[in-house]
Amino acid sequence: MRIRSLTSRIVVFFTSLLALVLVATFVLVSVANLRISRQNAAHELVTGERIFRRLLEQQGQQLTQAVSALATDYGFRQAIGTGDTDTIASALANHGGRIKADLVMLSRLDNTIQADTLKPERVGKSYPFVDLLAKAGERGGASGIERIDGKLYQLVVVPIKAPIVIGWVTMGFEINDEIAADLKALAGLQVSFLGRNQGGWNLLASTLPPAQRIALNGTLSDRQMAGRLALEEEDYEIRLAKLADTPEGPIHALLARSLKEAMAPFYALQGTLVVLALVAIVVFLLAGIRIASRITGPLRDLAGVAERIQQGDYQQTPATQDTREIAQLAGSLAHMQTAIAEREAEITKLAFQDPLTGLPNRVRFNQLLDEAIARAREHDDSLTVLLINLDRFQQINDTLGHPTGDRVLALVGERLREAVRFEDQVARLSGDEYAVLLPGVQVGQSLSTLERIHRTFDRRFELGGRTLDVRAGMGAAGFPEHGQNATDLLRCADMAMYRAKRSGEPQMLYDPGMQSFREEHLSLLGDLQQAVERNELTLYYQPKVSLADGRADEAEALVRWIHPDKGFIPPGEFIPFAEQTGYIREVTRWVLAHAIAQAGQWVAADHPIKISVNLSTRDLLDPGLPDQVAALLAQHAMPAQYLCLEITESGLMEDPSRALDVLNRLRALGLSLAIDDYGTGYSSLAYIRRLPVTELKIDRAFVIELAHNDGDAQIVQSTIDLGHRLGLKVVAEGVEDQPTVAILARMGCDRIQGYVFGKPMPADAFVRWQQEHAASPA
Amino acid sequence: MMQGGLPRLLMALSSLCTLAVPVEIQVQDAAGKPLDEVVAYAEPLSAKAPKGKLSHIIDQVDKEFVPLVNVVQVGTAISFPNKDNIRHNIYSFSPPKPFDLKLYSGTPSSPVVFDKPGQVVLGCNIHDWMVSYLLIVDTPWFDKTDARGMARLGDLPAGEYELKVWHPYQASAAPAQKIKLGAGAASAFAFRLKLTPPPASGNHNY
Ligand SMILES: [Cu+2]
Repeated sequence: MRIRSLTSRIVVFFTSLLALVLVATFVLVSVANLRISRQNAAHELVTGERIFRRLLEQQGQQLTQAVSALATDYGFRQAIGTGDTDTIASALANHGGRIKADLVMLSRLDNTIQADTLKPERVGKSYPFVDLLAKAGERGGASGIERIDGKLYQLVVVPIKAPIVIGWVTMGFEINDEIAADLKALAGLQVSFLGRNQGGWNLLASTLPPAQRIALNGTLSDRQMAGRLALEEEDYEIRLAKLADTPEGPIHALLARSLKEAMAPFYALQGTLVVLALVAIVVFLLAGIRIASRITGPLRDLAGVAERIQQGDYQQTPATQDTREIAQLAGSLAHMQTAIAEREAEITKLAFQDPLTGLPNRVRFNQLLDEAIARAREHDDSLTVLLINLDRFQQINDTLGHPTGDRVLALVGERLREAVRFEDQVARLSGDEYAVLLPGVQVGQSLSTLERIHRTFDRRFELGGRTLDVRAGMGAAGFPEHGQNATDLLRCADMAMYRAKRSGEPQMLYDPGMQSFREEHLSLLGDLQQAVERNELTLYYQPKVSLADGRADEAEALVRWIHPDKGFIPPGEFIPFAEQTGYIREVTRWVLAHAIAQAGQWVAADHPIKISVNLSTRDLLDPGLPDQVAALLAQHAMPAQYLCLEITESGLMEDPSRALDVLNRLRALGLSLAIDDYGTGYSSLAYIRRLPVTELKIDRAFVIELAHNDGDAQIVQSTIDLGHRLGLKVVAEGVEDQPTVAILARMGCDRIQGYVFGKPMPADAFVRWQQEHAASPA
Repeated sequence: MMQGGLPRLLMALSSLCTLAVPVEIQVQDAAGKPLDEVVAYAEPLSAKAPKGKLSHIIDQVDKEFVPLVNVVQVGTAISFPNKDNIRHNIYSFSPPKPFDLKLYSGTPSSPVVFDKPGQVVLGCNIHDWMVSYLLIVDTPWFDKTDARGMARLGDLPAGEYELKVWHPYQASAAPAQKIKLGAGAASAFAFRLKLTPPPASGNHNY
C-alpha cells in the first residue's frame, strides 16, 4: 500500500467529496436544464406559431386597410368607374406601386378579370381566387396567402365602391425572404414557407442560411408536425403550421427554433457552474491544506520527537500544543520517552550483565574485548584473554542441586574478581565458563596472573557447612600474537584451556601447534571408524588379583589402538574424544564383542577368566545394550557370571532412571556390575546401595598416597567397610607397591589391580603371565 | 310631394286627352309581401313620349341622400340641396351622367341635367356610405310603390306600352309587360320582384 501524508489524505478526501457533490449537482442541473430547455424550445414554438399567425393576420389587416384606403381614393375610383381599359390598367399599376404591391388585379362583379398587372393575358378570364373574394364580399375586404407561378403572395381583396361596389381590386404582396426575415425578427423563430403540390414539397421562402436551406430542401417530405430536425449540423426544434389551402395545394410555415440558441442560456449557466465549481474546489483545496496542516503540523513535530526517541535521544521536551488531542499525545510521548529510557537502561543491564554473578556476560565481554583490541591496536599494545572452566561442575549441580551450583558460580566470580587487577575485566561467559581480560599484558607475562587464579581454587568452598573442592582448567591467548579479533582470541584461549584439561595441567598458554592438534583429532575420528571396521583395535587385559587366595582369575579388558601410521595411540587420546562424538558406542560394542569372544574361548578351554568391560555414559543410556550383551553371551556360549561391566558415578547422573533401568536388565542377565573410579564423585554409598551393583572400585587417587596419607587411608578403610556392609566386593585400582598391597589386605580389600601385579597385556601374554603367577609363591 | 304632384299633372293631361286610362301596378316579393320604393314606369311603344315635369330634387339630410330611390324623365335637371351643416361632394361615375359636384354647402347654383336614360348611382366623396339610386327613363309615366306596394301611373293615353319595374336591389330585372290600354282594357298589373339588399356598407356615424 502506498503511504501518503495525512495532509494529502484529508485534502484529497474532502476535495474529492466536494468534487463528487459538484459533479452530481452539475449533472442533475444539466439534465434538468437540458430537459427544460428542450421543453422551452417546444413551448416557444407553440407560442411562436401563435405569434406568427397573429403577425400574418395583422399584416393582412394592415395591407387590407392600406389597400382599402387606396381603393377609396376618389381619383382611383373615378379612373376605374369611368376610364377605359388602358386608363384602368395604368391606375392599377400606379396605385399598386404606392403601397409596393407586387401585383394588382381588377375583377368585375361577374368575377371576370378586367385588369391584371402581373399577367395581362388573363384579362377577360374568370377570377381565380373566388374563396378570397367570397370572404371579402362578406367582410368588405379579405387577405389570404396564395401561390402564383411558384411564388408566394399575400393577397388582399377589397371592393371598389362608386359608391356601391362596382368591382374588386386584388393586390398581391410577395412573401419572400425579406418578409420571412421580418417575421423572424418579430416571432424570434426561423421561418420557412413550404408549398405542397402534386410534385411534392418545395421551399418558397426562408430565413435559413443558404446551406441549411439546401439541406432542408433535400429533407422535405411528408414530415410530422413537430419534432427535431438537423440541418447542416445545426439542431432545430420544428413545428409545421398550415397557413392556407390553395388550388395548387396547401401552404405551410415551418417554424424552427435553433437548439443552439435555445440552449445558449443553459450553456452559459453551465459555464458559470463550472467556474463556480472550480473556484469552490480551489478555495476548498487551500482551506483544506491550511486546516490539515494545523492538524498534521503538530503531528509532524511529534513524529520528529518520536523519531529522535527511536534514535536514542530521551531528553526531548515536545512543544506545547493548543489542540487537546495533540496535547494528550505529546504528553503521552513525553511519558513514553521517560519509560523507554528507564526500560532501556534495565534491558541494557540485563543484556550485558550476568545476573548471577553481576559480572559482564558474553556479549558485554565481546564488546569489551573488541574495544580493548581496538585500543591495543591503536597504541601498539598487547592484551591477554584467559578462559577458565570449572572441572566437573555438572556433578556439583546434579548431586548438590542448582542453588548450590549457583552459589559456587557466584563465589568463583567473586574470587576471580579479587584475583585480578582493577583494570582487568572478569566475565561469566556461560554455565561454568569465565573469561578474564588483561589489558596491556603480554600473554607470556600472564603466568603470574594464572598462578594467582589457580591459588584461589586451593581454598575450599564453604557452602552451608559443606566443604567443596572446586578445580578449574585455564587457557590463555594473547593479542596480537594469537589472533586479531575477539572471536579468534577466544577460540585460541578455549583451545589452550581444552588442552590443559585434557592433559591434566591447571593452565596452558595457547600455542599455534594446538590448532594442528585439534585438526589431528578430527582426522582421528575417521581413523577410529576405520580402526573399528578393520579391527585395528586390540584388547589388553590387566589382572585383578584376589587378596584372599592370590588367584588372578579376573581381568579388566582395556582397549588399545595400534594406528597403522602413528603407532600406539593411548586411550586418553581417543576415548574422551569418542565419548564426545558419540562414537564410543561403536567402540564399546567392539570391545564387548571381542572381550566376550575371548572370555568364551577361555571358558571353552576350561580356563575361565572373569572379564571386566568399561561402559561409557552413552552406553548406559542405550536400552538396546542388555539385549546385545545377552546375544553376545549366547553366541559365544559364555556364562554371564564371567562378565563384569564397570560404570562411573558420573555415567549414572545424566539420566538416572533410564540408566538404572539398563543396569537392572543387565544385572538380570546374571553378570556383575562395578562402580568404577569410586570416590571422585559426590555420590554417597546410600545412593549406591539402590543400584544393582556388586562391586566397588576405589579410585587410584585414594590408593596412590594410601601409605603416606592418613586421610586417604581413612576414606579407603571406611569405603571398604561400608562396601562390605552393603554386600559389595571392593577392588582397589592403581596399586603400585607391596606396602600398599599389605595395607589394603589389612583393610580387608577383596582384590587389587595395578602394576604391582601386572600391566595390561595382550590375551596370549596375559595367559602366560597367569601361568607364571599361579606358579609363583603367593 | 312627388306622389302628390304627379297625379295632379296627370289630371291636367287627362283633361286634354279624352281617352285616358289610370294604370295601377302592384309589386310584391315572391312571398306576396308588398314592396315599396319600387320604380314602375310605362314606355309608350306606339307614340313618342311627351315631356313631363323635368325637375327633381335630391336632398342631403343627416348625411344621407333623400330619397334613396329616384326616377326622372330624360332631360330632367336635378338639384342637390344640402340640408346638413357640413359639406358634401356629390358625384357619379355612372355612364349616363358622370359628374362631380365639388364640396359645397347649401344648394348648388346650377342643377345637374340628366340627358341620357339609364341608371345612375350617386355618392358623396367624403361620406362613403351616402348613396342614392336614380333611374332615368324616357317617359313621363312613372311612379314608386307605396307602403302597400302600389304605384299609379296616372291616366295614360290609349295605346301600347311596355310596363317595367326597377329597384336598385333587385336580384334580376322583372320581365317587362307589354300592355294595351284602351277602353275596356285592364288597367291594373302586378309584378313580382326579388330583392337582395346590399351588405350594410358601413356605419355613417364614423
Ligand atoms: Cu357628403
